[in-house]
Amino acid sequence: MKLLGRIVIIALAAALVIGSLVTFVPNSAATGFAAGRPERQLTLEADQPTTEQSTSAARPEFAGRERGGDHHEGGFGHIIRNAAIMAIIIALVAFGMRWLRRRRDVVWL
Amino acid sequence: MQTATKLKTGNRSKTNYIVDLVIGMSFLIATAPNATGEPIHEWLSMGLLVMIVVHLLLHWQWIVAITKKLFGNVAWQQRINYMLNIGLFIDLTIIMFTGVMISKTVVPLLGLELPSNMTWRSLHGLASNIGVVLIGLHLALHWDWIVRSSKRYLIQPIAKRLHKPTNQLATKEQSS
Repeated sequence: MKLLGRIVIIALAAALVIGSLVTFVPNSAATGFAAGRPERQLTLEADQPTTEQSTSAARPEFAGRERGGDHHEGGFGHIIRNAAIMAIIIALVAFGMRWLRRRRDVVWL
Repeated sequence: MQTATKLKTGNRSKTNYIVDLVIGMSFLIATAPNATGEPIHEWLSMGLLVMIVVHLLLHWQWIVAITKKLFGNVAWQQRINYMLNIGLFIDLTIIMFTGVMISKTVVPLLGLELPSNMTWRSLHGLASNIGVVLIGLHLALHWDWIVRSSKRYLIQPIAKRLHKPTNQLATKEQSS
């Protein structure tokens, strides 16, 4: 019973975060392509100039997409990159704190 | 009585270490969905969600104690740790929720269909990048405990196992 109560508290805290997130994310952006994908022109008409293809209006499905692609592009290199970032943070913070403690510069640490 | 308490604390510490090790490894692997494939990424993340709840339940007493005296007399390091953990909880909740919203394996398996969405995908990537930094900070604040526990539960048992055959050989030679 005690355990169930604690799980419910965790779920409520998570629900609070999700509720706030859904409130803050604009509705138009969150809907995405719910109404269906916009029509794409795959072939050119004979009298149509080719420059039209290069404008962003020709590919509306990419509007709002992250520059440089999203994180799903990472393979095993991503694991190494993230492990390296964590290692740098640990080295800076953990050993920095130890160094400060030894020097007694920051008393509360 | 004291020995029993010590044993209980030792077991608890070992459980904490194993749970944390699994969470750390799973998180790193889950950050590379292209390497593992989408289905493994999603199921691993579901497992990670369960393990995070277990981690929170194992540290429940600490959470309650610090929440009660957050604005009272408590060490600054504990206060910073608490704030960081709240940030981490919010970030992990965002990662999990946006992950469910863009799910291609787990959610369709439940018979649900969610609208395709670029915002959730961008948020999922951004939150996971922030998560890497926050988990790095979380590990840094507990680094002394991690080193101590790794020596106790990982390095020492391996070293003992490696040295055992030599010791046994030496005893055999002495007896003969």
